Amino acid sequence: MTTTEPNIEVEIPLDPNAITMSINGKSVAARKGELIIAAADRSGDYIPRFCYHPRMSSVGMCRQCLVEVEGPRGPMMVVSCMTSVGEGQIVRTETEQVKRAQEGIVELLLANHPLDCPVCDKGGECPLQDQAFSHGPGESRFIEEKRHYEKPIPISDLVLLDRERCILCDRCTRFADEVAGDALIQFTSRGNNTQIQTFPDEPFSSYFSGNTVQICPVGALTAQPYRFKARPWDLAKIESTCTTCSVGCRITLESSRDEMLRYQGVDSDPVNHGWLCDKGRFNFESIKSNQRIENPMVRSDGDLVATSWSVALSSAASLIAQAIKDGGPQSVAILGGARGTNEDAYAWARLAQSLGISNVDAQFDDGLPTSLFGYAQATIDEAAHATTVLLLSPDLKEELPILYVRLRDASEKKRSKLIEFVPKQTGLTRYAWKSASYEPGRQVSVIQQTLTDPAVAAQIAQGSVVVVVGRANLAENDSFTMAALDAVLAIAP
Amino acid sequence: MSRVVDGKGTAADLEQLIEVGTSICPGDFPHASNEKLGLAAVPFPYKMNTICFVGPSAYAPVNSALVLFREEFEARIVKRHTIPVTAVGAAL
Repeated sequence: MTTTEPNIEVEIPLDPNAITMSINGKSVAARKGELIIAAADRSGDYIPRFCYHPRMSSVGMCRQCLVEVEGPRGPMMVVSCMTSVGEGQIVRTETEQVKRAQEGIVELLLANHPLDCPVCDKGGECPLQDQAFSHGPGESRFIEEKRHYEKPIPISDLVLLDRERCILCDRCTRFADEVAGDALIQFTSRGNNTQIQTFPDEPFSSYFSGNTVQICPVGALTAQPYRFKARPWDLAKIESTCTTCSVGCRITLESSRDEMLRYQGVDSDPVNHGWLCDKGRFNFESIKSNQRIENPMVRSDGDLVATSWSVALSSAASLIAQAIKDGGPQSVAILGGARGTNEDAYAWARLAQSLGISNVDAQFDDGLPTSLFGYAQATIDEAAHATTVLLLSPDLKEELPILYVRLRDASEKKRSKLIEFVPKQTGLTRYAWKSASYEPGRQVSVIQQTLTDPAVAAQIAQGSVVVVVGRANLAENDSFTMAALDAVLAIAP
Repeated sequence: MSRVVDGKGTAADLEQLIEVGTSICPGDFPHASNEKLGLAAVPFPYKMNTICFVGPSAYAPVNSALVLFREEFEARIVKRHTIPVTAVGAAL
């Protein structure tokens, strides 16, 4: 990724949007337009919730987050995920009336919930389970037969749906519609018969379907690779970086009994906002492949012999030391990979430096020349907040799915305008302000023609511009891409 | 409700009906006045906890029946002790 310098004004005026409110008697500073539930989270007053998710719009489906707000006609019950804060607002989250309402809602939610927690994948990390204990009445008075559905039904190759467990919070459907942009699951029917469904002949074949499993507040959506494999409290969790593509999403690797069982997205504000693509989320299954090399191997007398790490490392070290001794540092070169993290690259660069090796090389994943580093760099956050984003060739939905999510979000919320130059339709074409197609090899003339258009030129002049560069096709010579980039920078520096 | 009407209800069922209603609409629910019971009318509007505007409407007849004609429900609950189980169907 390359960019022209974004305009960041370093000036922090007194915030005109700051307000002061009171939550449970505590004075809380908040921002105009913020939701009560978000302000309460910061002040440490936890309001129970099922449908609210900070990265998606609020719908007020579950009614669990009811709180009491002092109004002109006495205390009113309002849904804190749908009500924004106001100056001098008085909010109480722990009164008798609030408690009764929350207990009533948990009881009604559990009236048709199968309570099969002991065999449910979510058991142990389930918001419904946790909040039934913390904010529930403790026992149910419903002695009638519960609702029954066929379960589980596979809605895609990866995701299974259990409608009995579903509490109709609208999280998965909102995610599919708002974040991923392919609304392949929706509510059907009304009232007591409301249920989550896919289209009759279409599976939930989203690139982001795994996220719905993660955000489901009950065990209604489960992922095929993780089903019945472990209990959440048995999992050893390590936070890491996904290396499937160059976005580098934050993930937790969760394993049990020395077996990798799942990846979960971590909400990292500058990168992935908690989302992962299915490619990244489910590729851990390759770790279990029997073609994978599990031990370090050393070649002796023409044969590869499995050995231990200490032996392998010491023999590698002695070979490198011998080579440097014999031919000097010039006789050794290090080739880096494109899939490592920045920390990996830094580590091997340090190694090369300390050994005095100057013959180092590495490539981008799509084979573009490293001279790209010579241009100003933009972070993913800057790209998602730029006024204009120019896309040169890559199909982001296929290659960098989370960057696609971020840019789609920027375009949907009218933050950015996307201008793409592509040889074929891409996932972002629907969201692009201008989409110019070109014949492979003729980028430069199309770009010059589009960017000199007065409307486009006015848009580019308006603010920061980020250029996302990629190769549409590995068969295409990378010089075309670089020429296209130079053409863009010549017009929009 | 059908348990009560079938003569198999208990006093707790009536309380539960009111309580479920209260979790839909907190506070006093509007109903007409009644001189015999000495009840003053509760005026509209009601308060709402629910996202669904049909919810309070569904509760409205239940509430007014339970508030204004409570003795009939109670009679149904008490009476079942005096009616043999086999006679319940015939009595209906």
